[in-house]
Amino acid sequence: MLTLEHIEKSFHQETVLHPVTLTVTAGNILSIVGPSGCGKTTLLRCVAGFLKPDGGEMYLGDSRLDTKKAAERPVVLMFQDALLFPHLTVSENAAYGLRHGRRRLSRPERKQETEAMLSRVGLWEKRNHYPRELSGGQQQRVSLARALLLQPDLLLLDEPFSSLDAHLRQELRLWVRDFLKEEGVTALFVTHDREEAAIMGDRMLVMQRGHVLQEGTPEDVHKRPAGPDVAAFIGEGIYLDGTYYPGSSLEAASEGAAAVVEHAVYAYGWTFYRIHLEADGQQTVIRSEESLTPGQKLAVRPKEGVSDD
Amino acid sequence: MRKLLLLLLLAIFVFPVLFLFLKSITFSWRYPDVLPTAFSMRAWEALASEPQLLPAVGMTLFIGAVVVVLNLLLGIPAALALSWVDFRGKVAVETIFFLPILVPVLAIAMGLHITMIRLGIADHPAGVILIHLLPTLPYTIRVLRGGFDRLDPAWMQLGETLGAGVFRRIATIAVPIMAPSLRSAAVLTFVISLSQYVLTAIIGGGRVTTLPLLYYPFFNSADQAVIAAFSVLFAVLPLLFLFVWETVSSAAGRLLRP
Repeated sequence: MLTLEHIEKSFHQETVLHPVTLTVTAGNILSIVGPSGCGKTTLLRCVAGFLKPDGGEMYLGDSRLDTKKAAERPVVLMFQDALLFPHLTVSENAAYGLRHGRRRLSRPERKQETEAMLSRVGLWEKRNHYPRELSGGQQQRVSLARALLLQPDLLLLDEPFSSLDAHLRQELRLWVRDFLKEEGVTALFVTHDREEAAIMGDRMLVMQRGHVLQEGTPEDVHKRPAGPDVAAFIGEGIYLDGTYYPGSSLEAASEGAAAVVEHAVYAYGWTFYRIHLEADGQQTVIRSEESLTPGQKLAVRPKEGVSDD
Repeated sequence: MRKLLLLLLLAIFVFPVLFLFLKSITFSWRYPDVLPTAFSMRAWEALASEPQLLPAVGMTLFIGAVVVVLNLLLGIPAALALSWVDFRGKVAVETIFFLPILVPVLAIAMGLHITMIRLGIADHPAGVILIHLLPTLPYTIRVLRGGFDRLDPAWMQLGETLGAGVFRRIATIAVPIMAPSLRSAAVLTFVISLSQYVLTAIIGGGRVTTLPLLYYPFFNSADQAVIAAFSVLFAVLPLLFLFVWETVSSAAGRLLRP
């Protein structure tokens, strides 16, 4: 279990992290999501040991984490890029930590574990290839194998799919999620993509300007946002007169809150429309039977007799 | 097309060396003969009987090796800073590092000679080593800077998060990735040091005898075979250096492979 207590960090008098407190229970994945510059990557680098927090304490299990050097923490950070070593083959890359890192094994053990792990990530046939011969997705899988061979108590992932194309990203994140759950890895996953955060995390945590806005299951955050800031970031619903309404409980009507259509979204056989309120710019997505055009003005109101669940 | 290119390469690079070697073992090779008519090892024997030759080879290798080591020791931090660190006046510093190439080195050497006499390192290998840094270090910094540009600092951080200590990270990540730059810098430095005549003559005062200092007097002799033999010897030294460098680095690389 990872516990962060009041972790704070400033750069040049600018506060990047206001005291952040969070826990990740063993075997679970916590997604940290927020716009760029919200402090999520800074937080991750503090946990990895590449940045020293100005205050607060970190514990992994019962032992204090923040007093150890990065190389000595039982934690592995995966970067945005796979960062495979170009001069080593796939299997040598995967085995790096078992030869030079925290978990040194004898040559036969190394070979056995590396080959088993490469089989599990589906790259055993590529073990003698060099990284440049692999696709981006394959490279990230090798990178994951290299990290997990160290059997870290905590895996940190810093937007590891952001350099992949959309199709591959979708495929790989589901695969990685299932793989991490299978291995029972405790992980902290950072992304700016709320959809990805919901897919990857057992729980998710929304950050903005160095503050934690909400922590909860993806369903909680989407259906019961903690405030307008979270609602605005998630973009699934709006506040009307202080009450939160998800897009599914809104309808276009002759009277109600004035709104403007931004664009149409086609998904799962439905047509949705992203709209924003004229009054305060809050955004949401509604479904409409009649066809709407971008720029068209309309009014929205809560449907009658529909609860938000 | 490829064959033509290969032929051209052979003609430009390999033929002259072969020709020199052939020339060094001919007894006589005069005008109408296409190929030499008689062979002999006379030129090589003449070279071997020159008492100053072996000490000069030793001194040249010694000075060259120390100059290479100093170049790497001084060039690596400078190149690292220029590549990885952002600071004010970086362009100015870069220009200053390259100045010794732009200013005629003789002008600097004359001035430095007086200083070296005062310091007591003129007419001594130490002074010669120091002055050889002048035409070599600017190139080393340039070449290594390119190497650091290609070495993403994130690779080193990755080694750290995997639990490798700083020396291991250097030996297993930085050095292999930068190997081509390190090799270029070392060979370039060695060859430049090997070819210095004027600087060695001025600062060494004729007491520090390196190969070029012997080479020039030999050129005055009319015996072309002897000159050819000497030239072959000259051409072989950098190859020898490269061979040793490659042997050591590939052995070290094998040892550290995961």
